[in-house]
Amino acid sequence: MEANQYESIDHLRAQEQRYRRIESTERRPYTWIILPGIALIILFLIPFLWGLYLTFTDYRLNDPTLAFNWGSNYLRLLTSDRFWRSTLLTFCYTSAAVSIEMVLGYFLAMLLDHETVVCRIMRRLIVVPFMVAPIIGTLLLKLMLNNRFGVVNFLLGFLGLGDFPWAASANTAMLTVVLVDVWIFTPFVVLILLAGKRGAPTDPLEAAAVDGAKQRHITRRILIPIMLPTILIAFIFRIIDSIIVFDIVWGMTAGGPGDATLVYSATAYVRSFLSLDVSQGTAVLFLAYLIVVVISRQLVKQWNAARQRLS
Amino acid sequence: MSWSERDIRKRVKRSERLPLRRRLVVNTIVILLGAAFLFPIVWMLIISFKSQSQIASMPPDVLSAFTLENYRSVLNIGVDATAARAVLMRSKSAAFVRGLLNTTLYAVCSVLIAALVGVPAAYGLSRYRNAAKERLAFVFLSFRFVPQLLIIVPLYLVYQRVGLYGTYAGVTWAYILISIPFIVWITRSYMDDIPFELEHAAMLDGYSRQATFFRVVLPLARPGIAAALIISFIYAWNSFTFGFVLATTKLQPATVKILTYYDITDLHYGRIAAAMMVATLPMIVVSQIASSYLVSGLSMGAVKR
Repeated sequence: MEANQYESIDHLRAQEQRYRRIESTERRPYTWIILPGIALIILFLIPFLWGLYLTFTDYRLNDPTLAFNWGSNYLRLLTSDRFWRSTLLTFCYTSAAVSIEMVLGYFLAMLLDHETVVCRIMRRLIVVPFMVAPIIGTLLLKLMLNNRFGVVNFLLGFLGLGDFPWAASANTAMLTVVLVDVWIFTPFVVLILLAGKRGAPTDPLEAAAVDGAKQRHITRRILIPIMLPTILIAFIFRIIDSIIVFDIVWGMTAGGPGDATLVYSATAYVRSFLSLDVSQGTAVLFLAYLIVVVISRQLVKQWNAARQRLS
Repeated sequence: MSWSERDIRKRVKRSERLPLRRRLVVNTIVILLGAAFLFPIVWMLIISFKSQSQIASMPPDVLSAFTLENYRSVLNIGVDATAARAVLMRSKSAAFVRGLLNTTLYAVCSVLIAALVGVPAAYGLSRYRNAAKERLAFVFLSFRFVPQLLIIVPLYLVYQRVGLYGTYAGVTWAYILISIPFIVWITRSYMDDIPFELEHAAMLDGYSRQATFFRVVLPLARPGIAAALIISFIYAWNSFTFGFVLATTKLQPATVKILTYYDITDLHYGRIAAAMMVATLPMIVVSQIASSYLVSGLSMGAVKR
């Protein structure tokens, strides 16, 4: 009789369910632990949602009207040349900065992985540019890249390039801000990729080398797939941060000369606080945020897939 | 011939060393690239010890006669304030010192508050079984992706209504937004690695839930918490946008105060560099001491050390 009871699958299922229920109630008390966090989210969500509402009004800093206007801000933005220009500029900035940083960062990380004294010292020092606040780093480079008094042009003078205009000319301003971004954030990429490389198992690499595979193939077929999750992490953070960049561009050129470097955040600042048109400025940022969310969703999916493939 | 263990080890080590030519190539490239990346820092360091005339001369006088004058002036120590210009400078320096104190206050307070709320929240998000859990966690992470200006503009308007504009509490509150995603995500990713059975065992042994959290989970998650605290402290210290828009003159952090040294009529390179050094040095020291925590912090806990 008893043996029969234990063998019955229904009984086992019931027991399992009961056990699950106990476990889930046991875990329920964690709710109170999350509560302050949720409170915090709500307190930040309120300004966020209010900002979203503002983009549907004609709110200006000098004229606080709150009447709903059915998205005419977005309509005006999407049909204005200036918005598309700033989209283009943001795209240029992001693609240039991120691609240089990823390639240079990967290259430098692979170099720094060697066990020589120089590499060991550099591994510690490479983080320093990243520890300088972006705004301070920008202002520092602004001093150094001054086209008349800057030390860089003094040094370039020996190459006959002593009057390179950097941030002063609309043609080279974008190059200059990208350069600053590269200087500050390549160390970030290097740090993450270096950790990824050193955390990767060496056995498959060695096995392939013993089997006589070419270095090029080892890198492409084994090392990169192993490091893909780390590469994607660096990529995700860099791409997001450069889409919404503010302090580097603002410190270097304030969006100028003309509109040569008016990326999304700079446009939003100019609109909100200089033209006092808060609703338009915030609308620009919401569109930027939308882009960020879409891109980061995709990349996080890729990242999860890359991790799944490894395990 | 008998080989001592030390001999063998030496030989193995030597055989593992890279061939000379390759080592030379690697070292040269690393030195060149490293010099390019460190040049601005070194330049800032040198300039900060130079007088204005030394910097202005062509070619710049780099290697002789270092002076502490810039640091004294920036930190407002022993400056003789009689000339009108010196008085002006002095008020600027006093403001900068105040900015440093403000930065410290914001960074420390916001990180502590975020940790007090964030670490338990991370624990809950790691252990609690619920479909909403992942979504909730993603909301915390998405704070990291929000353009700061997007939050600042409404926050600025809200602050002016409720009277938080121009208060320390208001700015600190905004800074929490920087720290909270780091703390929740990094701590959570470390807590996910702690097996639930360990807590179960502790509770079976008679520990209360609180005791389990404090005695079992917290110590095991300590590297994650340390990484989260350090990285959010660095980000808070270096943050610019919040202080730039939300703070009144009295409340501005050092990163914003630096801008006041960019005076077109009196651009004093040495002083600017000294101010930058003072504002940057603490973070460089932190990064060198805590270098092993940096990476896992930077990658939001995705790369563990």
